[in-house]
Amino acid sequence: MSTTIKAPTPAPDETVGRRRPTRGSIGKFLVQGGTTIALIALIVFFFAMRPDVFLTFTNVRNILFQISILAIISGAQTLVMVVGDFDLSLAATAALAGSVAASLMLKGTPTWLAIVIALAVGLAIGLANGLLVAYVGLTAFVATLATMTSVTGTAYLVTSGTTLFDLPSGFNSLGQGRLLNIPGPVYVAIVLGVLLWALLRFTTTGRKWYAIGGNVEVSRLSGVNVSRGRLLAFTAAGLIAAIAGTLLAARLGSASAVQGSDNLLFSVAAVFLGMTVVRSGQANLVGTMVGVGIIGVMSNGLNILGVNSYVQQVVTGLIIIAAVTLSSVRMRAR
Amino acid sequence: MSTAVHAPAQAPALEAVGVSKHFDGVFALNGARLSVQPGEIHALLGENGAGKSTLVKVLTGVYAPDDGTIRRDGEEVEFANVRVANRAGVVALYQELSIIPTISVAENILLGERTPSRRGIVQWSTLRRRAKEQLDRLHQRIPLRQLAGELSPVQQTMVSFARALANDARILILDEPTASLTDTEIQELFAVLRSLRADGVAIVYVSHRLEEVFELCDRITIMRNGQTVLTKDVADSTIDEVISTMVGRSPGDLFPDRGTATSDVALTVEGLTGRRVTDVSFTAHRGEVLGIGGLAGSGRSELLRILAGAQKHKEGTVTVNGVTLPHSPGVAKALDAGIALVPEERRSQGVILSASIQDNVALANIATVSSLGMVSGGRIADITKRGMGDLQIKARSPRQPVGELSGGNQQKVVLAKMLARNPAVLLMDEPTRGIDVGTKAEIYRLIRMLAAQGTTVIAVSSELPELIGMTDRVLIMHEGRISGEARSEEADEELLLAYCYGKTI
Amino acid sequence: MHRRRGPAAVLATLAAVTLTLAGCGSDSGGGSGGGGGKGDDFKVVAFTSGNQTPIGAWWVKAVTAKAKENGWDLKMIQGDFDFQKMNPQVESAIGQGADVILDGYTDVASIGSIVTAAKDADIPIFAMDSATKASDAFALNITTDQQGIVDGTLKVLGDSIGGLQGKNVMVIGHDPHPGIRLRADLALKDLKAAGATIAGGDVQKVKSPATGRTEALALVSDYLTAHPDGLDAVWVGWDDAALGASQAITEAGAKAKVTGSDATSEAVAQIQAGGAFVATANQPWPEVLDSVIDAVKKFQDNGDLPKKNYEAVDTTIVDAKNASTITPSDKLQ
Repeated sequence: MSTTIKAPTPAPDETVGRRRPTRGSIGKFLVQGGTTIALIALIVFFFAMRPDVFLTFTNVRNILFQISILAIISGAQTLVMVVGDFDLSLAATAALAGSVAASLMLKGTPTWLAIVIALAVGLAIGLANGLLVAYVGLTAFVATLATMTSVTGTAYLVTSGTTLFDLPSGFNSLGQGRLLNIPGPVYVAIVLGVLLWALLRFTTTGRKWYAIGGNVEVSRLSGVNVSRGRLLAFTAAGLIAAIAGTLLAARLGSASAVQGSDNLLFSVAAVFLGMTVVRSGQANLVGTMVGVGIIGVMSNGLNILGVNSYVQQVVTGLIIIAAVTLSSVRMRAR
Repeated sequence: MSTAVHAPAQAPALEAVGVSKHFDGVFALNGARLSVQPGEIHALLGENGAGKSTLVKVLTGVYAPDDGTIRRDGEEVEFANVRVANRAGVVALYQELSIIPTISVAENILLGERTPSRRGIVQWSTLRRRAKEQLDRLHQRIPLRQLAGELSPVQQTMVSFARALANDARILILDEPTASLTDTEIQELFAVLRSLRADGVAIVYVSHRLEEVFELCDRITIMRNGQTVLTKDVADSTIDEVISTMVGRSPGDLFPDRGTATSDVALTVEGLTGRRVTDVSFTAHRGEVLGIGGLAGSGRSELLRILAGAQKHKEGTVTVNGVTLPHSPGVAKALDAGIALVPEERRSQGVILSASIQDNVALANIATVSSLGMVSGGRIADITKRGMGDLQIKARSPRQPVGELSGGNQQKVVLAKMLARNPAVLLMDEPTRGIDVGTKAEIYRLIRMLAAQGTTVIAVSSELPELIGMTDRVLIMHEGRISGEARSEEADEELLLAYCYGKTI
Repeated sequence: MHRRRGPAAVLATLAAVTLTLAGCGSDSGGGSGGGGGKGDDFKVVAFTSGNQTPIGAWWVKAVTAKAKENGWDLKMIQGDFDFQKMNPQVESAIGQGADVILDGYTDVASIGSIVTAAKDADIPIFAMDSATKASDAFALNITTDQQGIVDGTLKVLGDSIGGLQGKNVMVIGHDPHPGIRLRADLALKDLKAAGATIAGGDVQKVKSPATGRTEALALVSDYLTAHPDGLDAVWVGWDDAALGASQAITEAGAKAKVTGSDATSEAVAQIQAGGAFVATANQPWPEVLDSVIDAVKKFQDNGDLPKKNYEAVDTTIVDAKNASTITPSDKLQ
């Protein structure tokens, strides 16, 4: 019972590749940077197809304008996915916030107050999601599916099923006005994007979220308040979604109960695409914005080439599959 | 070597006296005790189910004891939950729960409240400096910015130690810390544990690997049936004494008698060559237990995988009872030909933990239990019950999820699943890894019982005593080739070890 | 018998309340089922899938009011665009007996199982805007004249850009909606006949009515970037998307004109304001409902079914001249 066979040196396959990722070869680079390369490839492709149009100031501004709302909602989705959950109610929350702001303004509430109340509604929905997930213990899928349903119903009630319009011009200018010839929502998206990036990168709150998303049990035992962390992430996401929804109402000059509902699936897709950008495979803001960029460039570029919108939808799905497949190849290569 | 003393001059760092805990009327602990001095490494031993893990959970605030006292530095304490225990300096580290893979090493070491920050902003340079201080205490050089998930297992363990130290842990409880480490890594770990001991940290070391315990620990406490049966200095004890105390009988009984081998050839392997396997030829007989040894990476596991059809090969033939298998047959055809593999990684390759025992058994026997594409519940129940009876699987019912069973019983489910196919040749890769001594003896008996029924068993093991004790004949592999062969009755450990290193004598 | 009095009492009260609510308006539920009209408990099953749209919501209110006025026993089923949920509800209501079925804005293609159940029970379906041509499924289906909508909107469009000949016109549609699909196809045909060039060569398709406005907005602004001054007009199958198209044109500073259909208040206001949006079609739903209800009353009185089972009524084209006189479709009372 005293002798045990053990290798004097570690067996090759137990150590090679797991200590540090191999780097250097071009093939590796192509696989690792798959998603970013896809974005660049799309841009190059559309530029090659329509050099006279695609990278003009007007069209780049167009793209940025078109993806600004999606970028904000995807930012919110990123926060929730960092803690390892996801939120199906974000687009519904955005629509409700827009509807609430619009209906209050039509009843004579001052614009600033209507906006504050709309944002408070988003915050409250996020808080409710957070409580249900972190404290009641529902799964994020069930909790946010349920709130999505109720929130959409509430939005129908608020709008009476109609489209609210004729909003104050001051409000509309938030979404349609331009500074230095660039529309307002683009600035809001950039500022929020930088703020969220810094939040996730530099603050203890953000780092705790990453810890929770990485391993709940270790985080809990290390003194991270896991429930509060998740609550906070959902609440912040609700508030940010409300900003997006209010901005969308201002951008369109109107609000309806289902406005921008496609942002939900696109936001999840953008975050998934973004997760393939970093080595850890975690949700991250920069990656999400690359994902949003892919979705926006695809849609704009295919429109410019005159491709049927049904075909666009098929291609978008295929791009997501390709990017995620590439990154799982990368994981296996590790 | 040992810095611990018989009669403690100071109060124990952690002490449990008369601790009892029962679940649903069954005692998991019944008056257990444990006393750990500062600056000692104390082994906590016992078979699975002896109460070790329940005791650890009581000590770390997971469970509240029904009865008994816990003292920390001589003062009575009650740990309401794990965080309270952690604040009192008592930390348990589990292999699978040690790190957060998706954040950096530095953040892993100073998690949560420990992260240095100013007005909510993480102070990265301070964070890295303090993390480095902790790693320096362990003499570790691990890149602070690297994702913890990209580290080797031993480095991950070191990071979790560093975190425990950063949290002022004075009592570290380690559960099978060497399970996934190589020999050099184990030595690295031991060096660190010894330096922690020198710093006055108390370490409770839970392990099934007795050689390691005797190499590293100062004292041992042995539990059986929820009670503490022995506490002793390692220097005054022997492995045989420990085993007999753990199982309540002497270790000579561990291995059953040999003598079931016949002269009928069941398996002929000729010139087998593939990844990590070069020109391997041998025969095995009906009723024979054939051991295959060698260092990690010598090709033992790959040989089994090729025989089972789980890995492709370049050249060579495999013949079972006179029938030659097609080239690289695949698992299904190999199974049909009568070759079954019980893999090494039980939890990931052998069973589906969330599925019930009978569903696991049914999975490998779909053809037997179904007709016209419909699965027959009755037939599944029949073969499962038969398997559970033959193998003495301890479970509430055939419907109990395998994940709830002990390691030994999980291994038996893997066996039951394969045995229902009545294989002519049963391949087993490390059949007793991570299994306690008592269940080991049962597995050995089972192997011999199968051999007596005419099955040819080929088993790979890293432990030479086991390799010799449970087999009729041993083949040793070195760098993909067979470097030596011996009859187990006459085998000499030193000779086999020489074969392992490629010395042909 | 009553071991637990409390719950039993609650149940009894609930049952009484439910009966009172269900019987509201008529004396009691006798249950005659099937067959022609006896006066006092004429049972009507009404359903619509579009209750979440403004017009659908108006229809639910208006039908409920008409039923009360005529003393009918009405069961209203609201489908929320979910046929899997709505159809079985309607069928079970039919199974419990009814004299007449009312369908509001639910296309015949989506209610095959209801039609079969009604035929089996020999109950006539009176519908409005539920098929774009005559169908045996209905005793009566009154809809609006799609060709009339196309003729009217194209005329305004042509007038506002100086004729359609040689002009670049984009057509935006949404295929799953039968009415919009029919109008878009008619518009495409007529535009080609008038010598216009179709932007993109075919009807541009919007994927979902919920995001119609943002989709049309992106579609038109991207097209205008790719083809500056490449659009003279955009013909859109419904107002919500038309509003997106007109916003894109305004933002791009282009001169193209837009028409829609439905006469939502937002569209009417834009037409009045005199921007890119020049016309929409107002469909006279209150009048259509009156005609349908009249037909039902005739059936109730003497069992007569309408001689013609399909009628397409004229619509009013709303332009800058008459916009102030129109009641928008989402403001119907």
